[in-house]
Amino acid sequence: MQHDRKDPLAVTATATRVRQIAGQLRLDEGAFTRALALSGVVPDRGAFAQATSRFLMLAGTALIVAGVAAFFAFNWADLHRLAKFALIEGAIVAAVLLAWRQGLDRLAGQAALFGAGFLTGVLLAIYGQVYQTGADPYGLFLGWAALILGWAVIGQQAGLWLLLAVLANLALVLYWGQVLHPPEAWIEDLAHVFGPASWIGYLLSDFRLAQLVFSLNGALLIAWEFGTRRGVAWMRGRWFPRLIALFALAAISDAALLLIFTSEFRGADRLHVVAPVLFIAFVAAALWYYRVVERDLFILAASLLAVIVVMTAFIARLLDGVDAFLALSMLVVAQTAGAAAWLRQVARSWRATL
Amino acid sequence: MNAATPSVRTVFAALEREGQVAANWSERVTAALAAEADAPPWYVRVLVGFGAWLASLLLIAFVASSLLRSESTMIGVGGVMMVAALGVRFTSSHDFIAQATLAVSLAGQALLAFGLDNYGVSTMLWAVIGGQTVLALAFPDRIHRFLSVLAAVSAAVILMYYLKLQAGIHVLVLALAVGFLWLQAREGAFIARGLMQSARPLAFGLLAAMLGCVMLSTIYVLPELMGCRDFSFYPHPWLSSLGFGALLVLLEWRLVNTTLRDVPVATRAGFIGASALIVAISLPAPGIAASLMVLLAGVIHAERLVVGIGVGFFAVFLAAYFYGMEASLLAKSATLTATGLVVLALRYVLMPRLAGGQVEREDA
Repeated sequence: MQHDRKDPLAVTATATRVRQIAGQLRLDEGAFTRALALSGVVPDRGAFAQATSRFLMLAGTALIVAGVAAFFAFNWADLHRLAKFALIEGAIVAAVLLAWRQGLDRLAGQAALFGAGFLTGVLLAIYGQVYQTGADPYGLFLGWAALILGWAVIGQQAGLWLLLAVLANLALVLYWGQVLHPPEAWIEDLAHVFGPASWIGYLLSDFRLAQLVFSLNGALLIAWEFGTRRGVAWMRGRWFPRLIALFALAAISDAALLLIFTSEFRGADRLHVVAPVLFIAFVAAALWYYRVVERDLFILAASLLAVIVVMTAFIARLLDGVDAFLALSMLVVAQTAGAAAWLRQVARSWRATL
Repeated sequence: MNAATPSVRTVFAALEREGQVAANWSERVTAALAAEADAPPWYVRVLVGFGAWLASLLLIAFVASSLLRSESTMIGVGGVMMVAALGVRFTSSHDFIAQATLAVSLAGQALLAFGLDNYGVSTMLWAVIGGQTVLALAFPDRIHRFLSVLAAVSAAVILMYYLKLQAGIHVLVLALAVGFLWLQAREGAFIARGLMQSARPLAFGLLAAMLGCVMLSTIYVLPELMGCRDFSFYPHPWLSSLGFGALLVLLEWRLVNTTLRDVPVATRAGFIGASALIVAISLPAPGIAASLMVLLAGVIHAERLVVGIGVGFFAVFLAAYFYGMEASLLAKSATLTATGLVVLALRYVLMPRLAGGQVEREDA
């Protein structure tokens, strides 16, 4: 139900609104409970069962897939290699059959197809485990992404595309670190102690890689928004583009910050202007697109947060002396207050034009 | 939630007919709606919180490097900053003032804590717990209240580990869970007393602190590093699972006596029994029972954000549990797979009966 512009009370009685109004009017407990019941936001039997069913389906699938992955990661020596392959391939075939039987437009079918996509990676890992191929891990992620690409295309679900996006990012980062620019040996040792995340974090301290990661996620985001504008029904959800926009913003902010705080700052190499230019272009485009075309306050807020961080870092690099801390602190306060006020004004203007 | 959500006018007109609100509700509700429209969503509050945190760090750097020469000065300056921020915040709600007082208060608290560290870690931590509890109740800012709860609980956890009383973590997480559920259950009473703006950030602070504490169960520290052979970072995680399981069953008991009261008794019993079974199987992983409890609390109280937090925490805990080192991969595999199978069995066996056949149709 949308606004009737002549009647401000014609807006839908969402739970948040009912709470806010009840708080302002100081409704008594009985009236508040009744208002929630009348607004229909407290689920009835059918709505509760529906929501619970969806959660149980997704949670059950996630638990089983994680359990299967843990089982094969255990690398049970007593289990014959053929038994391992039979188990995992049997699970993949069963998941695909279940997806086919349930249909890809139903949650059960989508969850089964996602499970098959995830288990494909486990199969590749077992292959490497059994035959000790010695291949670089980037190949596993690349092969995994290639194998599930077809399922992602026909699957009509954001979950499989997110898995594909994560695999593509990992393949890119690992190819950079294992083939193009391998780090020094002590970094490898660090990864053994603190885990692979520390190794990937180190790789992303190279602004060139950060720019590539940004380009990958930026392209994904553009493709997704193109699909949304074309009216593709299963692309209407906002969590996937929001997540990918966060990846892109984090990567390009990382690249810009690296340039600001390293010796390349004010460097003679013209390539060094690429990251700041990309940052400004992406943030400007996001602030325009998500305010004017595809209204999304979440991505606007994330973009402004990136601006605050990069702008503060840039000015911090230019300033000297103890007083700089006070100036920067006031700058951050002013930027944050300005950002919050602007976001409020944007939200207000959207409501006025509904 | 339910299929057709009525308008605010429809809801309040019905309340007026039932004698629940006075006849002049229209103007007051219009004014309340205007205020609601200006309330920022959670991610804007995160942005503001981050800005305040960054500004306070810079302010600490400025004060520490230019003004402070001793611990007593730190305590004095920190205390003055806190009191000044509190006083100014009471006088204005302007964006800039709200931001600046938040940053100054956080910086003051940090300076005070640094200064008190000179008197011993325990003293400092007790002071943080006490001070943050007072600020959580007194500082008229939602973000500050939320951050104060987190700071107080963090100090309590550190104190517990510092005193090697980590077995008490179960008491702490369950106390936080009970506090959160109590604040949620008493929401109507807080609204009637005009205390909603205070109670909600406290409830979310307790929830976030509880989930943060549960995440500690995925951490493994080599006993040798702690100088104690039988050291366990989160000893007997099943104790937390049992506590969350009990709270989950209590919430379900409430549900089967309200929303599901028309469901046959056997199905209701099966619903509660199956949940107890899931908790029993996932005893080594307390995050599973915790997320189910949070999820159900969100559904019962029509809080989409709480539902989202429950689902998100479930995913994060699962990933952390998978990578944790406390249990062997084989044990994790058994826990995860068995729990998943029970969850799916519950979905296929119990849900159609619970919904009266609606689930399959609406899934399509």
